[in-house]
Amino acid sequence: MFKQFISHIPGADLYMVGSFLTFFVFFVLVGLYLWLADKNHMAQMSQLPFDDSSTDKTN
Amino acid sequence: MNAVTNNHQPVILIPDQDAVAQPPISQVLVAEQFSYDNAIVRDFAVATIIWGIIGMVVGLLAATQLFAPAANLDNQYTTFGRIRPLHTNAVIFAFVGNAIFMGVYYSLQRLCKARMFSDLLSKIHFWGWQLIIVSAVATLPLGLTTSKEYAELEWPIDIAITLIWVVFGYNMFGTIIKRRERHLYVAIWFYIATFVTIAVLHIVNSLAIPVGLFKSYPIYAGVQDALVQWWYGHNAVAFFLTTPYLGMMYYFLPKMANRPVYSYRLSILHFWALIFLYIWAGPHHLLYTSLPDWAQSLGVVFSIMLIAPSWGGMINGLLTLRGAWDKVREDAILKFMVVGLTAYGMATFEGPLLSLKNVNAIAHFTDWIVAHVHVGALGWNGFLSFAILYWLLPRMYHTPLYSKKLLNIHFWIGTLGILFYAVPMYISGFTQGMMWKEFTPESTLRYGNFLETTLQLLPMHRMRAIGGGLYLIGAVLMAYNLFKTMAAGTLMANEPAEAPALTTPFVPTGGDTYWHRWLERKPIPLLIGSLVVILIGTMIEFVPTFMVQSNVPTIAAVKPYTALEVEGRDLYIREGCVGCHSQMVRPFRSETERYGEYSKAGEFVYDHPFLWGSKRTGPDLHREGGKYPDSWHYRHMEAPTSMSPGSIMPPYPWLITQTLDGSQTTNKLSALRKVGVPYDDLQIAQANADRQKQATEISGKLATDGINVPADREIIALIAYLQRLGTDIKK
Repeated sequence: MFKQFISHIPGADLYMVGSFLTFFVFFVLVGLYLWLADKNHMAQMSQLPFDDSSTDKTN
Repeated sequence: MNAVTNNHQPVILIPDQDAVAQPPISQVLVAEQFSYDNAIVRDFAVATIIWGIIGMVVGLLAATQLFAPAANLDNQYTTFGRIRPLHTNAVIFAFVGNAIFMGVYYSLQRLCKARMFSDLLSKIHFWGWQLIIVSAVATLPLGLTTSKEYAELEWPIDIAITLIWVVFGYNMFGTIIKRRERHLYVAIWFYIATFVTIAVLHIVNSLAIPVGLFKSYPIYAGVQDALVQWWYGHNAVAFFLTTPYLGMMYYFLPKMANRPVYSYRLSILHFWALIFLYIWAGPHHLLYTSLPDWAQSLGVVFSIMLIAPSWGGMINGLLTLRGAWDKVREDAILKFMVVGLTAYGMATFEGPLLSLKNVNAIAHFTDWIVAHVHVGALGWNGFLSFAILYWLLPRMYHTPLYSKKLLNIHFWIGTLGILFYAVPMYISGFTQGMMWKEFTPESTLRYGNFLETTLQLLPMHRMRAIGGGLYLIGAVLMAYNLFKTMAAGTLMANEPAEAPALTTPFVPTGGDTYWHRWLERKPIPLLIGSLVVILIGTMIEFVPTFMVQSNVPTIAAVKPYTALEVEGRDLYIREGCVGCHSQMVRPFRSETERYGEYSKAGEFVYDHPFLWGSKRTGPDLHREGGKYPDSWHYRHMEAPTSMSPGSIMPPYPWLITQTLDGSQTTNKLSALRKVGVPYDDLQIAQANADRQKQATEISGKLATDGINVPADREIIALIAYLQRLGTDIKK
């Protein structure tokens, strides 16, 4: 590896860990929301593409 | 929803008790009559078909040039260096771009239960976008390019893109705001993230100082320019080729299969994880380069993690078809979707694989990357676009598809085309990567002459062209099939619809009080949330590279280019040399043996733009300076095969006959000073005189080798630049 880059910026390791933790916390929060989410609401949301309110009956 | 009557307007609707839990005030809703704008969807669909075929024809021409140099057609406007960016721009922004707008305009209206916000804005968007594409077609063959991949268009066109993108966004948000459906389906989230991220990427990567109407220098240099460019390049793939298509998948696949998406929960996780992770992964395009090591490692880590949301999305799509595989057997449109999703899965598995440093060491700069990109482009973007076109147009024209047989033929010929394209390119890439690294027992390079490795690949390139040809034939069949369908039917330009307006104020009850449920109803906070998520990774990568001096150690011997070298460098950019030649010697013995000292970050501090390249069809040129005499370069540019028998590089005779346009030299140096190159007043004042002096010296040296060429010719400037390359650290 380049010698000049091995002496990376101070705290780069912390940077890596910090970056990972940022994502991990974010991921856990979204995961928690989904775990707690109401099943009926999810089912309703997944039906949205089928209710397009078109009154064109020729198709 | 039960309609009490539909004979009179307004229609009174009584909501089902279990479907909508509203306060008593909204027990009786008044349905509003409106219509969906199908004409604009049709316009984008037709543009998708036409530009798709044009982009593929240009791609086939470029592919042919790589084994038959005569296909460069002996003129400067159709050489590979200029045609290749035309191909990439045509397929990305013209074919895929129009397909995105087609899908968004169709699905957004229906998911919002509202016509597009403004027909006028829709039209401005459509015609503005086509005008931008025509500008690209007009300027790229003329050599008017920034040289930054997938961002080659010069600054006036960049501004036009920004304005039209704002028109698109305004129209989209206007539609969302006047919607008649409270909740925003996940497809719309993907569209919002697409809009905001592409806006940020485009503006940040395009910041440049203009020199005249068709020339500019980026404000970033060297390592920083590379980081910004590949942050852009990688995320253009993410937010132009992926997120809008995922949005379209989440809308059109359930419609096509007539069943809801497998897991709506997974789609939400997919959305947030994907947009968060993608933005970090850009540096995996710069492994083993002069980019700071920590930034490379960050790119690798997040690339590996990216496999999870990508596959989550693919699995969600494929499982949507659970219990419907009998339909897939019958319906070629669903077959297109299945192969498209599989291609997405393959490309997104391969992406993290390629970001592993040991794999990247072999694959980078080779045809492996070309194969990877085309699995995504031909399989994912192409096949999803085809499926949506086949599904949409017959519906909007109220007529069955002209020929199901042709549809089936298209599917099989397209699939074969992808295989014939990708398999030879994988073999070619692996062969090339291994040949570059092979040593003899005596510790010398087995293939010391780079050309040997290029010529070895020609059979694979021929097969690739056959694959591309098959794919193109499929697209032509589709065009015929769809145009016949359109001719047989009548467009329902304004499709009637009715839905009650949203009740205001909305009082959330029960589950609707959750924070995320709130976000699902609010487009602007969703936009801001997406923006924050993509900016986290961006800032963490950018700030240290720009702010911490030690990330780009300066080298005292590295000096700014002379006036003539600046002009030569601009010719290098004009001719698209960067399309085939890298300027980045990686720190491998196989590369230092072949090219010389590995490249250091400090050597590029005056490079606006950076020209590291991403593909080596020819050898790296970073240590080209001083390797050969001026006369060698002259003869090589005039007729490459005279110096390198068997070379597939096209000749550049016009560089010898054309006079260098030196009218902007002073302005160019002034502009470069504005972006940080330390030219002093004297250097700028004497720019023209210095240029002519150096040109006369080179012309004199050529004369001693029996080559008489006036000092004012373009070839002189190019030779000056090539002879300077990588020589500063030797001083």
